[in-house]
Amino acid sequence: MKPATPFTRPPTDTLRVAIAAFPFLVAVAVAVVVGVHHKTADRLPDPLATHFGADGTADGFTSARGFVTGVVLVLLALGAGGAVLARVRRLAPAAPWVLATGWFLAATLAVPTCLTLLANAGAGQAHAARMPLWQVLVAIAAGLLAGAVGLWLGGPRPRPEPTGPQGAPRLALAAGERAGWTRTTGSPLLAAVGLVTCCAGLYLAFVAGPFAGVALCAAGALTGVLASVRVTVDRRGLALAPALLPYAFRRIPLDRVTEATCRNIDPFAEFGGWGYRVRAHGSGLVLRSGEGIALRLRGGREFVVTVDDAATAAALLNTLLDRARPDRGD
Amino acid sequence: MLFRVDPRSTVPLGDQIAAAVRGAIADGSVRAGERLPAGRELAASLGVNVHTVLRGYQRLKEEGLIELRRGRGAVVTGVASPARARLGEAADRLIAEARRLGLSDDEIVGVVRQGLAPR
Repeated sequence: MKPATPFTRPPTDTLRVAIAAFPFLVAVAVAVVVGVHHKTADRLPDPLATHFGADGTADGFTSARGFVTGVVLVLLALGAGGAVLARVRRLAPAAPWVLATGWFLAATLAVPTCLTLLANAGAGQAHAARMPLWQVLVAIAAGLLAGAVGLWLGGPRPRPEPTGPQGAPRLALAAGERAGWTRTTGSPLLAAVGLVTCCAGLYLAFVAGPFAGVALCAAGALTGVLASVRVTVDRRGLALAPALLPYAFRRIPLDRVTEATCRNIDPFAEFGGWGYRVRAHGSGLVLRSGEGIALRLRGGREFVVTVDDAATAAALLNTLLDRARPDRGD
Repeated sequence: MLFRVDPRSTVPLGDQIAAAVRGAIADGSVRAGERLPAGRELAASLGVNVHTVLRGYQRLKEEGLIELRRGRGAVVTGVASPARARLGEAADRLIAEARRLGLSDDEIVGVVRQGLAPR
């Protein structure tokens, strides 16, 4: 999918904030207009039916003023949050998605609010108000449509230019000389997240029963394991293993690699976040932004690992590749 | 860090591994507190015997550059500094020079002891 974009370049900061806030302001305006219009026409019961069961009958009621005020406050809070996020520099590569999420939220809040008000106004009596299931689908569809508009307005996604040392370096290795490169890479933040998750899991195990607690503990342990990883490059290829356990969880055999380079990696722009990421164009372990090894694999995909001294690792891999394929001739 | 060993060299493989670690500490690419790969892992990586790697690690331990602890593996000590690592390299050069002159091990130790005597 390659959507047409209204801007050849991503929008400026101010414009982005305006785009982020716009749907929430529209949603507030629509909710207030619809509410006030029907209230003054004396068609709204009080309290309103504000929650509906799966069969469409009303099963929850709120005062009309409270309902509209609550919705408006939530919309304003979300709008302010969206505007702030749209300004955050670090999130700039993901800005179209921040905008899309805002537009989606605004629509999925405003549409059900209006539908609820209209259902109450149409029925005259709160208990008689109905909201069939298809109206929920309408709200979701409206949300997706608004989200698509937000994404479109967000402009083209900036493609990170591969910077830093380019080309395929080599290492001067004598014939018969053996070499291996190893280094640990880690994220203190991820370690902290893992620890907190484990603690939360233990707490949950006591409070809410063992199952939920154990699941959370396992998630925390997995995060902790990924927080410090030993990267090894040798005659067998590239291997990733937890720094504390000598068992590789990911191996890229040498014969799957066509070329290794060292380049700067931007986790947010290229992989949408940190951790072990899998994307259409490639996968890899990205625990920070900056220097990393980039392997071009057979089939065209890329495998990256963010690690210091990546240039040496890439050079060693290329040298080992030359050695494994003496007939390559380039 | 990069480990390089050349099986055709006259220098024992264990000493070559020790030299690689020493070099990495000397040029600052490996710092105090850093953990070296487990002996078994490094042996598999380089295609050498585990005991060869452990011999190299043992030598680094005797130089005070690393600590060997059961379960924790090899960790670069707090006193390991680039200067300290270069001392080990200087010793290696001394030994190589002395051997080239045909000195026996006892004679080499004798030379060092001689240098220490006045103090």
